[in-house]
Amino acid sequence: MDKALCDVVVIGGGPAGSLAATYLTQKGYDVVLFERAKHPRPHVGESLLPHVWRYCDEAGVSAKIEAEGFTEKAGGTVVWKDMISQVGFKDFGHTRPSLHVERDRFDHILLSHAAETGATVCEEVAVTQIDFHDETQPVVHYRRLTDRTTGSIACRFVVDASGQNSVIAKQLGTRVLDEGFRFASLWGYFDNSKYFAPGGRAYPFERLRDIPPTTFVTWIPDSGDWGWVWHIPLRDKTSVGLILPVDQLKAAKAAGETWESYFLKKCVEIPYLKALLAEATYHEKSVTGVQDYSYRSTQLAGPGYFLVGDAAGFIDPIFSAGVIIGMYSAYTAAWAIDHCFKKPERSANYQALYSKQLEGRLEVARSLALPGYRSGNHASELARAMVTFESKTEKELMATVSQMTTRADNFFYLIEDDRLDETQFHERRYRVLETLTT
Amino acid sequence: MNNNGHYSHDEAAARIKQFITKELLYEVENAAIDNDTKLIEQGVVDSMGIFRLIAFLEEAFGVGIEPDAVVLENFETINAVAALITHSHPAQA
Repeated sequence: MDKALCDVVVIGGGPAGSLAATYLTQKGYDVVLFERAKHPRPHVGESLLPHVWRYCDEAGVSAKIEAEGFTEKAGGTVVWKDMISQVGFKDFGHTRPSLHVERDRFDHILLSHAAETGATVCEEVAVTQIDFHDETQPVVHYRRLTDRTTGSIACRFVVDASGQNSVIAKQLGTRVLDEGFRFASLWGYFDNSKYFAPGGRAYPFERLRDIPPTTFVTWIPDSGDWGWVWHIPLRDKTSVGLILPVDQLKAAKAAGETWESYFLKKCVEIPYLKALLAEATYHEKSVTGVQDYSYRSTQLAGPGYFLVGDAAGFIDPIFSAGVIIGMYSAYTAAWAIDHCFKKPERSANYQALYSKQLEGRLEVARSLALPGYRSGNHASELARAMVTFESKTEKELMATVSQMTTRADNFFYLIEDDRLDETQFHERRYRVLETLTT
Repeated sequence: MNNNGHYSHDEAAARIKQFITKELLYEVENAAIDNDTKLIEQGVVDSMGIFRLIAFLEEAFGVGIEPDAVVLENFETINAVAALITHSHPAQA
């Protein structure tokens, strides 16, 4: 890749970056995408809501995803304190399936699709710095990880889809940790785990193809409202993850535990999870971890750049909203960039529209996910505006999931608003179960 | 004169209705909307559709939609969108 100039540089080839590159290429722009890794590469975040389909339809990639035959799930099973509940997306008008995907494969399909659409995709290339001295023509400096040679390319806009690396926000000093929400996550993989189906009965792994699974989420009793577990059956293995307060993991480490030993200890301790894993085999050395991951970028767009996906902000993955927000931001950033090209004199307006919509959406996600969280005034207003802008069915879905844990007080604070018909939030379309049968 | 004086409320509403029916409801069979249909509440205009609608409004009516104008009150129904358009200023050149 020796191009010196293009229309848009996309940093990162996860779902947000690949879709942004696809949408922009479809609109006729010359797009170069830099990806540090060589796909397929492992990634966490395997549970997808049915909302992904409209973004994939728009990109023209849905048929490729359908052909892959990912695990179709029937909904969610949540154990939180003394309540066991289940929810299905079909109850909210979604006719297409929600999925459990191996992210190495899913992300590779999206990245290959971007290349097939016409974007120039460069893997094993790390962006080192972006020069914004000329705001109308940022220059992206990069290093090829294979031979350590360097290069640079000038463009009109940079889309930062670099995930938790947040290349631009870190460079500009606009990336801030969500103080007070210092989580850590540990996750690993198992063979032959049982799983919960709708109705609350556990089935052996080999039944996965004929009895669809649910995503299982349970609180971790010794971490208050904070810690929780995910259990996500994939096609040939099961992903299990723990979300813990950073302090709890630090204390475990101080007591001599490794990440792996602590992960395995919790897996045999947590009610229901231990029953699902009783006859499962752990994939040796599959534990990965990340600390301090709730953060936000205080500026989501500026002259010459747009932040999308996790580079814009990352919350707590409890409601599987991460990929959706990534795809939404990819779509809206591509829209905004297209309009900035067409009407450069109104660029600031399109950047502001993008930032405002995405900030509101991130705040709604934050209010649904973080325990004991309270939005500030400005953020509350944006989040309220975003909630009012959702359909009745989506509001009912938000109201339902918010009541399946005890963490969403802030969401109820947000919806105390004259513009909202509160009766829409009294729907509780989850089913309460007496017990889960393992 | 509103929006360069080109469109009355009813004319604007008719063009907006045509766009929504053709571009946003194309997958829905027998979709029937009128000027008071709740566009957002019923999911006719969703999180993607709102951007397509804004693009259409700017293009078709030569107006600039400000970020602060993208609120429920202005997009609740076709009548609300038409009112926004007929009171909007032309896009700054």
